[in-house]
Amino acid sequence: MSNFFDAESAVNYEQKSLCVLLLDVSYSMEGKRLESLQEGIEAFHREIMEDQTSRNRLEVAILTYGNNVSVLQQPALVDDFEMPKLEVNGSTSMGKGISEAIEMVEARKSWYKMTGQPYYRPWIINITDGEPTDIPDIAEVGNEIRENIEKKNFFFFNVGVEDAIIKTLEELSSKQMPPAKLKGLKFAEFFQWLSASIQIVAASVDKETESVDLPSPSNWMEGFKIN
Amino acid sequence: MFPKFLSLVSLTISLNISAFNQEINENQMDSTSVNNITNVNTVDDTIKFSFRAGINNETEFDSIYNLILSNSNSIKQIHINGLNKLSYIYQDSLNKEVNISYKDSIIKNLRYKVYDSIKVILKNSVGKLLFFKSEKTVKVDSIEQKKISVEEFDNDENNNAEGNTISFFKVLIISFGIIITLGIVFLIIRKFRKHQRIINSLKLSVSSLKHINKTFDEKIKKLNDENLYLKTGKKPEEKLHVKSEQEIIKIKERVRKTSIDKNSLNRSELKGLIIELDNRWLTIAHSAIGKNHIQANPQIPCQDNNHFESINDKWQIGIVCDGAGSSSMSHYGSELISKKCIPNNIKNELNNLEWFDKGNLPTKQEWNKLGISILKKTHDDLSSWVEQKNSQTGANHSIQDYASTVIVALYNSIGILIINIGDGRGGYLNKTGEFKGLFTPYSGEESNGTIFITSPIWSEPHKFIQTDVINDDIISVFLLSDGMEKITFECSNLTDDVFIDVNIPYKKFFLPILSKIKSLSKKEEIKLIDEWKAFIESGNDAIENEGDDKTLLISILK
Repeated sequence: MSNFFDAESAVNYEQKSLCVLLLDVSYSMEGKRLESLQEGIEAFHREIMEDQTSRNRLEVAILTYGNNVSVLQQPALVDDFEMPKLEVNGSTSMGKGISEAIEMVEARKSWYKMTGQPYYRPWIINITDGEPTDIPDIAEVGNEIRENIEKKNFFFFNVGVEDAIIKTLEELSSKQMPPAKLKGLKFAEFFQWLSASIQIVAASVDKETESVDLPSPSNWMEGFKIN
Repeated sequence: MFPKFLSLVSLTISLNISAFNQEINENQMDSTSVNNITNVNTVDDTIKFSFRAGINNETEFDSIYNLILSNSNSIKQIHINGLNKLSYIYQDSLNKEVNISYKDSIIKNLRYKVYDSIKVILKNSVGKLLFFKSEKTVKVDSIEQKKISVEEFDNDENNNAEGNTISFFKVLIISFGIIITLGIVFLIIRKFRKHQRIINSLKLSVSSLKHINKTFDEKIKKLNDENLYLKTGKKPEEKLHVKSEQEIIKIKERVRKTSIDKNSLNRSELKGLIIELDNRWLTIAHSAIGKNHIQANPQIPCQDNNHFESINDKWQIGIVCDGAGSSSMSHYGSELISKKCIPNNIKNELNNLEWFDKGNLPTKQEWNKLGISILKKTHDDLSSWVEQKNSQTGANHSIQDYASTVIVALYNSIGILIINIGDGRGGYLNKTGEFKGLFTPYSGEESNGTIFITSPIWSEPHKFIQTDVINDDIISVFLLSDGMEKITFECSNLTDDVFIDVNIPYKKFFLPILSKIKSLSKKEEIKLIDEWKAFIESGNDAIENEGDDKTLLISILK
């Protein structure tokens, strides 16, 4: 690092990027699955803390769904909280979880807009190991998700764990961002990839095109092939 | 209490002649003219009554006199019947009055006077202690000879010791009464004050407890709200006061003013930059690849480019272009535009214009027309070039594949002409030490969205292309791509829930750099190119870790 010029950087308010983690905590997740997921989100927390920009930019929220939907963490910079402990709880109210997540994103965006601050497009990450037990009409929810993605309201990414039915998750995804299957229980690797990807997407989204070059997810995603 | 009390009471002393001495030899008196010496004992005083008859010889006087003298300590009064009542004030007063001794006074008053009787009233021991009732001293010369009957004499109020007794007690009681009253009043006041103090301290406790109560209430409410939200996802009623337009404007103005003040040079800082001006412009610029580009797979080349040169010794030109991240050939686009198209088009368009040749400034309207025209020409140049390239290589790129932003600054010491489309920032420093922004970057709905010279804007170019004429005494000009903006500008501030982009160059970044460059000799300036390159690549942590491509062009008047 050269210090020929002794220049000081300006301190500016970092534009915010919201990432909502929507986590399945149904009975089937009990045991190793939930443990790994817990380790995974704690690794995510550490990753973000270590990066100066992400620390001030990434707002994280955590919602879990089992019998009901719980808000374990409101949108906040990781500096301001520690990852909560996940607990197993009943069935799989994914439908309710999805609508709550969308509501939360909208609420946060309206705060951004109210203050007049620019913001990055928010993310909703849905991690599940089964099928939703409270969605009578999958297509309806899927359409809602795709509509929002079209309008560029948020990114929606589904991650299936072990017993998850990818077909169902496909119906809840957009073509540009299809669901991914986790290799075993490699949550830590997934979250590492996620924090890097969020950064890159934030840095490169422009009005004209959608295509973004993300780092390779091969170390956590099953069946990933380079075309 | 008692002695004190006694001292408050006025003194009255009457002289009583004690008739204790019963040793008076009656035989010494002329029995025809002297009656019995009678003792009448009362509660208070002993009345010695003697000498009923008049005395007019010395022998008789001597007896009386001796009696008086022998009881001189206990005499309260001497009543001389035949004269006005005569009272002797005991001890000092009489002497003061008539200025003779006690003995002599009595002698003077008794001798050679005709009187019918003399009554001597003695004080008892109790009376001796008490002094009350003052009686006038009768001056010797005012005594009249007078005869009153014995009865009248006896019944005279003033002769009655009882009267004195009553008054004596009267005064005692009254005094006691006063003292006790005073005492009681004093005690009441003291108690009252004590109670007041207690009340006041209780009041204080109450108010502080109320305050603590209020704080707890607020805490409870907050926790309840959080609890409710965690359980049901219901957002608590935000006390968030929606700001009025006016409030927002006020806050923004406050923040802006603070930023402007903070980033102005003081006298000494400015002095260093404006002394010994050679009027020679020195420009350095570098475009460095961003971290994200390096880490991307496949790696993306640096899409930033820059160019600077002197035109016709009256003008300097600086150009910064930032290729679109999503456009595959944008690094070519930004290079072509900055190094070829813009310089050519500027010269073509402006040559032979009077103001340009003289180094003067055009009007804003004129410059707007020229600026849009220059960019349009540039767009067309790019278009033809892409076509040419396609036919050469067989590729099928659209002009959008070469998308880029453009910033152009044409300047000299009296002003700056600016053209820009897209994002990035420009700034300058004037002779009064103010750092100012040159234009506001264009951003779309989302962060990072922007517009390019290749965008379909040509039906309404003035909506997307900004031009301006800055008329000021210029010391330095800077142009940068958006990768450097957060490091070098105050551009993102959230205060009181109000966001503002003040767009002011950061003094603590630019001043050290300008001072350094200013301080270099012509020889030392040669190494500037390498130093600048190293600086833009990894000058500090923030610069090194910047994900986007970075360009910074600085031009300073030396």
